[in-house]
Amino acid sequence: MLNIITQAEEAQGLRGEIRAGGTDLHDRYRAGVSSGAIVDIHKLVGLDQIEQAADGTTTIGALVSIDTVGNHAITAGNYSGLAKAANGLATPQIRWAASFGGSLLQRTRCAYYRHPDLSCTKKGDEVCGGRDGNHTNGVIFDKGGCSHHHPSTLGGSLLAYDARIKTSQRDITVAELYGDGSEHSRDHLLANGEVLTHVILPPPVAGEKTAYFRSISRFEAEWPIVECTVRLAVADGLITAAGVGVGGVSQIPLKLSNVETLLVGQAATQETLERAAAAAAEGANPLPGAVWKVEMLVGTLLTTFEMALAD
Amino acid sequence: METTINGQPLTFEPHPLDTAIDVIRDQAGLTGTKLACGGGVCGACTVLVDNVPTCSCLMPANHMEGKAIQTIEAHGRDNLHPVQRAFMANEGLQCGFCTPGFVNEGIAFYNSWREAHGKTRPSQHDIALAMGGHLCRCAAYVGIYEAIAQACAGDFDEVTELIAPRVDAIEKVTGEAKYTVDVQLDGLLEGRILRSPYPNAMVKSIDFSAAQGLAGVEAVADLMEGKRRIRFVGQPVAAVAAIDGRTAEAALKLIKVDYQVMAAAVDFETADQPDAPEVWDDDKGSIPTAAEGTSLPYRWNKNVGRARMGLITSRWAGAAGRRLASAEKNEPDRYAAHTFRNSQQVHTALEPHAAVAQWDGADKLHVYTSTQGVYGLRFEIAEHFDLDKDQVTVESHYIGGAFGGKQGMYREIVAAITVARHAGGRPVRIVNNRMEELAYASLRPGMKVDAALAVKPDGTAEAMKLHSYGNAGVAGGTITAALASITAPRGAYRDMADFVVTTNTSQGTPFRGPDAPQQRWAMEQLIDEVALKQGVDPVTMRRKWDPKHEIKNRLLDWVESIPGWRDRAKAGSDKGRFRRGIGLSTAQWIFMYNPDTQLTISSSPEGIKVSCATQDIGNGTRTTIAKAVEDLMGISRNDLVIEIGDASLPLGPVAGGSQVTPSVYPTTYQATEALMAHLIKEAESKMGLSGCSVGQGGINHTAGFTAWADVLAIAAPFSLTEKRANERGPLGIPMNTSTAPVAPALGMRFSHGATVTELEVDTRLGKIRPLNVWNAVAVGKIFVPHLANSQMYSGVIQGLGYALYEEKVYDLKTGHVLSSNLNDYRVPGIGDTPNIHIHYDQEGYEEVQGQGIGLSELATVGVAASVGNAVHHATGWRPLNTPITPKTVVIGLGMGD
Repeated sequence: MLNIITQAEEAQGLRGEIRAGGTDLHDRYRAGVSSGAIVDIHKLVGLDQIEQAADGTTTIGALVSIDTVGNHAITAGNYSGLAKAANGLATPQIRWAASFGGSLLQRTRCAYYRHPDLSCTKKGDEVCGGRDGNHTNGVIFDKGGCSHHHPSTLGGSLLAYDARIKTSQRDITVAELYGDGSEHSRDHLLANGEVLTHVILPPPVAGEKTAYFRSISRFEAEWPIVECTVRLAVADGLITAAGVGVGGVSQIPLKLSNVETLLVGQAATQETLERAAAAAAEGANPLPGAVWKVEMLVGTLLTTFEMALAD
Repeated sequence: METTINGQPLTFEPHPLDTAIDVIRDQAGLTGTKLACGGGVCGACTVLVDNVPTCSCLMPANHMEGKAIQTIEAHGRDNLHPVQRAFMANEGLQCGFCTPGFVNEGIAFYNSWREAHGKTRPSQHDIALAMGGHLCRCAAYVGIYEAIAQACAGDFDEVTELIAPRVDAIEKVTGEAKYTVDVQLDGLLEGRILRSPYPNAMVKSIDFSAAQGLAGVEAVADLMEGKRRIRFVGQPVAAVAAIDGRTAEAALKLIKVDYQVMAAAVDFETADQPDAPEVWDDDKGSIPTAAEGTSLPYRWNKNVGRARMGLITSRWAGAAGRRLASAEKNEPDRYAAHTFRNSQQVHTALEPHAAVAQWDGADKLHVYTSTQGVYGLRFEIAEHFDLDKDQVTVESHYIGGAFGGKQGMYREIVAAITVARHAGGRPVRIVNNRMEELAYASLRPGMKVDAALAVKPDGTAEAMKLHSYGNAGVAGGTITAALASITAPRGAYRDMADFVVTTNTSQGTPFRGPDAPQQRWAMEQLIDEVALKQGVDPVTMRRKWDPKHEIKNRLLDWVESIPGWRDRAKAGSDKGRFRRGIGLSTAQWIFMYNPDTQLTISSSPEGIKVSCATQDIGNGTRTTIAKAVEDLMGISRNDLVIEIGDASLPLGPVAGGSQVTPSVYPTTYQATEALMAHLIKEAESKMGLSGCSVGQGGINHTAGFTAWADVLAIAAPFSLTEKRANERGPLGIPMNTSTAPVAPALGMRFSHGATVTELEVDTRLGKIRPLNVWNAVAVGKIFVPHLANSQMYSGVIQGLGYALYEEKVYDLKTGHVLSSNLNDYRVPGIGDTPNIHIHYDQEGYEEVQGQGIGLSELATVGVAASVGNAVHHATGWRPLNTPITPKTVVIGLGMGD
């Protein structure tokens, strides 16, 4: 069953999973882990634009491609951390085809989820197969239930930007989109039939330094072990503002406020960066097989900080 | 709905779940677009959508509406794009299955690069970023880099002649090449396999009634073949054939199987324990083998089998043990010992295991399949299905990669034939999906190796131990210790033994240089460690082990000529975050050839044709045959007809054991010489030439020169068949040591190699970046340099994948495979390609037919061990396990626990 809608409101009451670019959905349908009706939104009007208001507030339509987020003059010029993250994920073909909205709402990349015969809370099973099984790349800020980290790179980036989300029904923060990680059957908290329509970014900060980095084993095209988006405002050698969003570490993308606090007001020196990165390990409660990732988080943050200062 | 494909309008009504590739392949009939991973990782299905490269496997079919789609068929052989010409000229392909996707992406990149930078050469970094969404399992990345760079620079803008060292390159860059998955036959049904979800079970009953009742289901079949036991997750239980894949998949869900589930031994590390469930408690006589066709004699203790080959592998094993124990206690600087582990590696050729079978009545069977051994497969099928060989045809014209994993009558072939028998004469196609391919199809066995080495005060080998425990799933047959013993120093005491530990996991198979990378991984690191302890240069120590071996010494001379090796810093002296290291491994392989190889060469006014029942898995068999004719007659290889991939042709070699080139090149050479002699006679009698001799591209004679083409034009059609000459045995007498016509013989020679890897370790994040690899082989004469180079490059890259990335991962509770997509099973991408430097030592094989032996397995044998030694050189930490992932580095360097 395929419903192709032209107004976001039409989705309400329709049965089925929402499809934009299809890059996640068809992977799952082909693999036999998802099935059922589809609500196709690629014809929704007006969701393929990036627009900036007079006060600098920027609205990105949910159907804008990841590639456009990475290379559009408004995003690349004003929200370079987000743009770098967009250019740093997946592959060129996926970045061209996949929608910004879909990148925020995709399903987990956990191997237990992506296998049709394995148990997974996100497929409705009681038990997470990875928690007592293999969770080498599992969470280190564990929220219970599901043991794998959230897949959205750009979700973490948007947390660093304090962005908001507009849906066909409401206006919420990115943190509210993902919740606190206790909903183990879901990757986001939108209701059935609720369509993510826009991402709203606050006015840009002039001259801020940014970086995005992911730790992987190969050169490119690999889901991250840990990833990080960093924004730093630096004036007269002092860090005056910081935004740090990370992925790969918890069931939801995380904004590391404690790390941001340790950066702001400090001299932009290696010592500051190292102290702040090390603080990221505070409060970590890694799964036993994922303990090694705590050091990866610290190292990834430090690397991203260094890249941002060199920006 | 309306779309446009290659300028042609197409009206289509997609199924809601259709993606663009379904419309392109099934409705438009354009099979150049390949489905490989089905998840947007490998890029084989890439087409241009309004000029934007797009994975057609993920693009919703209804999104094609109003778009202009361009597939590889837009650029046929009469309308080649410069990017295609550059791929052909630079060996930017091997098996060709990924090539249409690479070419489409390359064309888009060429356009955007030209627009931004004009006719300039992009860097490898630029190309790697642009091609990040494509995987080439054959690892033709060196040629792909060069092809794209040259095309962008404009080197092929004006080229109109065919420049193609590989004779079938044009079929591959245009999408003309038809693989098994592309076979189109009237009434073709799609088959699917129902696989066991349990690792150890009895099948009590199978109820097909609901499946048979589903509209569109044409046949069902029990695949248990009279047996009831399941021994691994993914073992085929039943098959269905239906009018389309979706119906077949729905039917699988309707088959009711009653399993009696039993406790299983999934975990290799605990399967040797006394309380582990026994995998073959009922029938040890049926244990399959992971080796190339041969079973080993075993003495079994539950799941642990000890190969009864001690007389071959060991030499005074008791003395070896005593001397090793003494060295450990008294001379620790002359001793090293570790337990090494290697994960299983999956072939995951981009064309999956696939077969199309059609019965013509009860006693005539046609099979198309992706196989490494088209000739022998026909006999295996005939025997299994109780037919005469003349009742069976087997064809395999293009094969999308194999690497050892497509030998023999694999399970998908059996399934297709079995279910087709019930399909009323309609052909049935069975193609694994990527998950089946990664989880169940074929793999290089994992290995646990207990190894020790003691050297004498002068550095020569005193005693060595290598006990290998193969992890080949339900199979036996690993020969790690046997391979190590063959090349061990003759004077040393050896305690070497091969064990297997069977588990309830899928069957191990041969994989490029079977079991050899594992034994080098252990032995070369022990040699390195002892040399370091002794303060002796690792090259010097290796020279002492075999001081009079001219070939090995020349290879070591070459190693010492590498500036990066010569000028290397002391181990562990790099102290920063990024630490560079360089490591050495030597390598050996055996010389296999098929002495029963026969080739028919035919001449007619149309030209020359050579026929042989062999196949081209991307190694370049067609080209090797054509090159032999070209070398002798001076006729361009591209002007010859090479007929292979059909079992009814004269007996040809399996693509395994590096035997194809040394089997077909000398035989073609012999046949061509005989043909030339015949043509000279024809010229003398029909053209009245005299004083004839073979000249460059024709005949020299008293009146001048006549080209072969002119002789062919007047000569009567003619054909002759030549059989390969036997190699000489121990007494210098030619002998055929092959045990069966399809089996290879062992030549009384070894090939030798050396690999030096320079890499950089990110000690903060555990990532290892290979920078330079120098790879040398001594195999005598190189028959086809372009093909040899491709094998050398890909041997390095596949070896790096083995060393650094590739790992088959199981869920130990259920026996299911976690690395079951190409995100979670990581193969090298183009950006992982280091600078690769090739060296051939071509002397010393003069007595061999053609003066050269095979190299493609040797090219990968030592790579992983050189990486291990380089990591130690960089960091002072010795990795004992492959792959050396960021996790193992971070833990190994003591940064995480």
